Amino acid sequence: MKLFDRWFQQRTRSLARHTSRRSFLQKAGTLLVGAGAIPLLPVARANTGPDDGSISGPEGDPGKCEYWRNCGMDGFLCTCCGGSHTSCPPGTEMAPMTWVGTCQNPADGRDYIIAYNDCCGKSTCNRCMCNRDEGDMPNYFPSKSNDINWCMGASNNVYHCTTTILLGLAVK
Amino acid sequence: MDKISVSWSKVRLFTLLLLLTGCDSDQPAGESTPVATASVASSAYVDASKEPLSKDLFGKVAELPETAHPHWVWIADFAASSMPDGRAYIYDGDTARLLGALNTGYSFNALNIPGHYREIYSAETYYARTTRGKRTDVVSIYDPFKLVPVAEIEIPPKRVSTIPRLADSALTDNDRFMAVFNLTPASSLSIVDVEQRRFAGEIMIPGCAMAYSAGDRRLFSLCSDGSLLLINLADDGTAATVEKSEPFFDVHKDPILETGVRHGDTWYFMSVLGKVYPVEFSTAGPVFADTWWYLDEKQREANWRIGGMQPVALNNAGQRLYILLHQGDFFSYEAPGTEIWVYDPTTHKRISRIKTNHASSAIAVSQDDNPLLYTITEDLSSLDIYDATSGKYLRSADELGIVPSLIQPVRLP
Repeated sequence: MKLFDRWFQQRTRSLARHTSRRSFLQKAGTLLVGAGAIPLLPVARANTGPDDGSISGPEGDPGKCEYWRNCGMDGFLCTCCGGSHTSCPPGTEMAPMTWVGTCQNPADGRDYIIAYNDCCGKSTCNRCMCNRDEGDMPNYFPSKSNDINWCMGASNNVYHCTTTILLGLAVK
Repeated sequence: MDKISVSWSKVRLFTLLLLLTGCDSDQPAGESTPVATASVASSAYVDASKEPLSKDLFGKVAELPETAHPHWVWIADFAASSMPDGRAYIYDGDTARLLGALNTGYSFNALNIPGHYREIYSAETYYARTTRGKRTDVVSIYDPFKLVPVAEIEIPPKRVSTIPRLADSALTDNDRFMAVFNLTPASSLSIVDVEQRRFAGEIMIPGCAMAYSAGDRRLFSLCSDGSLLLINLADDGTAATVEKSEPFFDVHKDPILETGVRHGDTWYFMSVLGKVYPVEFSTAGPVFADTWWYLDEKQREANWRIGGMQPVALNNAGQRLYILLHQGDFFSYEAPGTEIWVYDPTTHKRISRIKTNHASSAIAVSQDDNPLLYTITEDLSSLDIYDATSGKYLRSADELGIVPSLIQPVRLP
């Protein structure tokens, strides 16, 4: 079945990188600083994020896994599912809590805190699977784990797709 | 015209089915059905010297033989493309034949298989109308040979939904208490007394996650500060003591993975950068034994990394530790592995290196003296089976499932 291929090829392709531990520590440092700047631990609540649908150009196609906000993504992109990178598809509900990542916008070189709010209430969208795992932590660190279904915070735990809500600048 | 011809072929098919099942009202019960006359009289050749085949009995349903074999293996399938439809399949590792299946509800993680193998337990979530309506979480109890549910125990509707991890639930060593990890995002364990068929209560585990067994009435969870939470149960399944240890690994510099393996009282956890963390539970509290490197400096520099959804296995009979490896960066610890390195956990020496036929997302090993090594291939299309001692590839089961994620060999009863 092609879906399996898509699911895991995405997981695999995105992980076929060769960087050093120093690179990880730099990333982890950024993530920690970023997370610290949001006083909403253990998880981010993202109903305050601005709609940033105006971003366009090569660095700004939210339907592509390579899109800059997707740096910590593990899920189906809501842009491909009837919603957008900042809104859920019709008839679903945005989970209020989620994991957060720090991603750099290539258009301005700034680091932003991105919340990956899941959209819930319908079964998996199955389009535009994207898994990049940058900054992902094991499941005993839930606020940094993208392997957890964050629809737990919605009225219905059925996972559909994931948005990328910009919460603000990452403070270094 | 096409429509008419289709309709006629349906009529003929329906008539044939009636004849085959003996439901034709003109046919006296028990008499042989004149199928040959009705449908295949035009056959070019009939061997009159041979007796015709006897009629099959209708309604037979297979059961597994009630002697569980250590080469039986369950595959947990969380059906990511259709998550309300989780399943588990049982295969015979000696033949790669599918023996049967269970339906296990929404966002299925893994089964809990007791050593006695008289029952199988499964933490499950259901919505009244598939994706909406009232949510009900249960521990289902299955007959492991007939593969039917025999009982269920309702638990709080809080069960965690994750990319599956074996430690999302656990059975205590005496197979009596089952712990189910909840995340709302408050962390807790639902404790079920599977013997008495009752929900025993909920134990809060703040800052910690998942469940591992460390005794007849003892569990532990891993915590986000690098410590573990040790839970001793009272005889009724409530918490007698809950104690947090000192941190024993660095969560940010070198986290351990969730897949732990166990030999006797010792659990082994593997870190991302290449260390083994043994934790012993033979005394009142956990003892953090000396760590050792499973990757030497050269291998680490070459970016060898542990990876996959279930990247570690241990054969207790032969004391062999299997680790799934690939070359990648720090955050690639969920990436499929291309090699399995085999270690002696006592001497810490690598014994062999198995290059898998396909990159693999999960590994497991049977617990007998002639162990089989199982891998789920990267594209999730097949279960590859190897001789775990020689590393020789033996056979595969293809068309494995929807999104099969974890491998659970049946333990010796």
